[in-house]
Amino acid sequence: MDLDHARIRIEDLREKSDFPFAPLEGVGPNLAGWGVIETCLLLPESVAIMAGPSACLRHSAFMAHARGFTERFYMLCVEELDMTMGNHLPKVERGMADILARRDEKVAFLIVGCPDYILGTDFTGVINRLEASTGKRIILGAMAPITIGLKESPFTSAYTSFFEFLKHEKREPKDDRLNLLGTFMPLSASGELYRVLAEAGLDDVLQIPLCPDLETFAGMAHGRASVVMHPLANGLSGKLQSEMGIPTCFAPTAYGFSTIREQYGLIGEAVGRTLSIDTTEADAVEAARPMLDVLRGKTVAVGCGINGSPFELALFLADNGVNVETLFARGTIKPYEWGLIERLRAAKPDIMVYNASHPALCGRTEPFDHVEVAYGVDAGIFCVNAANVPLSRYQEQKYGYEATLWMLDQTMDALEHPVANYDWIYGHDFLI
Amino acid sequence: MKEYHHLLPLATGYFGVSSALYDFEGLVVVYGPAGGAWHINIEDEPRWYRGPATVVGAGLLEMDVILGNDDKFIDNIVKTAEGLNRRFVALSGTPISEIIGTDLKGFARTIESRTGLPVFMVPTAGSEPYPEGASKAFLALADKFMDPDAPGLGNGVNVLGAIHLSTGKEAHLGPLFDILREEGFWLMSTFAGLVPGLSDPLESVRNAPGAAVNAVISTSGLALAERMFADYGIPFVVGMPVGLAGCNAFMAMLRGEEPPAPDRPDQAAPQRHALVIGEPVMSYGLKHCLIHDFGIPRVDVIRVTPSQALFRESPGRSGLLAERGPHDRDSDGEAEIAALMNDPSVDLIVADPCYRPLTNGSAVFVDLPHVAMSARIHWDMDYDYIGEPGYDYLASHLLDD
Repeated sequence: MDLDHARIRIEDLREKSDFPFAPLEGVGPNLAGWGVIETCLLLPESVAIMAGPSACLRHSAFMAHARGFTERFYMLCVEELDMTMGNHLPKVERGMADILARRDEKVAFLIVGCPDYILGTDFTGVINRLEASTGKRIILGAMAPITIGLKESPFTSAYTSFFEFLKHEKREPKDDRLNLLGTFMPLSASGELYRVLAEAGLDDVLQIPLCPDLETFAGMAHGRASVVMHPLANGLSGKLQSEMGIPTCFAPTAYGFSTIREQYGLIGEAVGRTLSIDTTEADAVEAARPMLDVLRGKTVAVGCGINGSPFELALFLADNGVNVETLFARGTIKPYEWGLIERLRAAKPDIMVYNASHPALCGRTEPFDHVEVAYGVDAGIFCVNAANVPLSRYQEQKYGYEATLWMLDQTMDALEHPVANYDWIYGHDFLI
Repeated sequence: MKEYHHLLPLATGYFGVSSALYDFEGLVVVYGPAGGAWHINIEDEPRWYRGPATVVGAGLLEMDVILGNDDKFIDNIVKTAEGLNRRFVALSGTPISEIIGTDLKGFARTIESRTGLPVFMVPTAGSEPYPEGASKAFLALADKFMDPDAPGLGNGVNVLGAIHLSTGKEAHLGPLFDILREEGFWLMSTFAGLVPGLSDPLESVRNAPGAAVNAVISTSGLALAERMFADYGIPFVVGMPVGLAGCNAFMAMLRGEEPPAPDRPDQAAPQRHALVIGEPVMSYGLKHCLIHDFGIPRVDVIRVTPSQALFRESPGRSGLLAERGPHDRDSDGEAEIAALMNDPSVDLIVADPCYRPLTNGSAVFVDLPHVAMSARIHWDMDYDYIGEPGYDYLASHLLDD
């Protein structure tokens, strides 16, 4: 199977149907992250209980253990025949009751898999009875990859379900409070965004992964605005805006100076304050210059395993004279990325975009032997000779110009002290 | 219904199919959503890394299930198999295909007629133990490729059941291959991977009926051994030759001799009551070693996959390296295993490291990875179990210097 089946020049990538179709799901080192379980367990004082065939449970268990959620994650094995007949409902109910009797958490997520999703199993009675008998909130969710690309993803649904714990709050807006949504690894309080916000008088920032309890989390209902750092949180922020009147802006992790300036502008609009970033930007441009000098002239590939959009990073690099030659992407290009693609098309039309799931890529590394720097562990799989810079969302969450400098620092470090792609993947669980 | 908290549920049927067929240059299509095959590759199939990724997913989506887009998937499989120039296609079922009743056998017939390739389906779902999937895959492979007229070889041996989910990296089997060679056997097929010195794994499958004896080293090879006895009259020996005494006994059985009485161990381990947790054949090999090489008086076995086939009377079985004890049991239940591990009299546990969180820490714990439990987490761990290297590994944990 020719590689031409798996790729397209970016100048020809104008709409979703142009993206190379993968007849079967091949290597696919691009599906990692933002699992349903880790999304659910962001909510403080919660426990997740997954019910389904053991094959499906095994997949989620890897993620839960790798992310350190073992203590808050349970699995109930269900046979396919029981599911088809609906015989699993009393078993799931009994199993959940047993688990919840041993736990102090106030919220339990009941997560089911594709089979229950397809069968349309009705858990209403189970949930109502469990809520009555345990006094805890039970929220139904699905770990259902069968829904990928068709509708709101199960991850987004899980994140959006957090609204249930905000909607009953009597909103009393606080002038200095801001909600940061869409972070898993929390932004550091000593980081750039906190400093920029504090200078504008916004020194009460709430992030879900830092909320110790539901009461603190409920304080988001009183935020003056929400900033969304990952599309995953758009559902929740949308509800906060439409049903509680909390302004929101979408300003995802980015690396390009101009994009970052635009995003700070959006945040400023949402909070109704002017954010002072001129000095920060000037310092960053100065600090970045020598590192971009090193990178300029090198051949680069960007994968979709990075924190942020591969098209945005590629655009920044290309605008700064770096030879971005290859992109590894997936077909679920996000709406905001089409604008980036258009700009990238104008900047460097010959970039080749590969569908990282295409079976034609299985075991193919020789076309990428000359690549010198690969961003994302998915790109690193194919680019065997490249210095691999994972930029994983599981390393550190940076924002603003700080993210750009961190990316460049990581690049310099990888060039001087390369770490094997295998070690990134298996030593750090970056592909789960 | 089993409950898990600290443990991973064991690999299931289609993981076993992948493990059995991975090295044969075929295309294994896991008929479910993309996530199913992806997770096998990322976690359970470490051979995937930068390799040809034999296992692919069908990429099933909700509307495909609702509308029954069978033609589309048949087209996609045909296109991919031909495009990648694969030597066969295997279709493996998932919980989704099981629940909606996808006619994978019909798929297989259609794809075979359109491609001219050998195509077979392996009926798996998502809850069965992985050896069941591997066992069915071996039988299907044998049906398609074994040559009934393969020339006989008086010292030929097939090693059956050598799937990585049970036995780990192929390198762990190196000592067995060495000993077989030293004993004058000619390794004809491992039926799940390359035979050292032979470049075409399917050729070794074709030649397998010419063997004089089969060595079954995990339960996933039992059904194939029985089939080969029924069809070709090849007797088989079941066991994993762990340590020194086990190796001697196993080789004697392969030669058709009575196993020699084990020598008293040069140095006995201080432990008195051991618990071995794992795949049945491997676990009984460990038990034999702990008793006869290290003098441990009581060794109980928890078989985490079904052991019924191991102990059933079978006309072709000429040797069995498994001594069933009164306290042994089949169980993969987390609570039951935890209770047995924390029995105060248990002073030694040999198991996959994933079981450690279940103990109170009072017993000596020897790591013996079981890939069907821990997948690639302990794939690169330095350990051995067969023959002298296996003895040395266990001795390093059990004996004082």
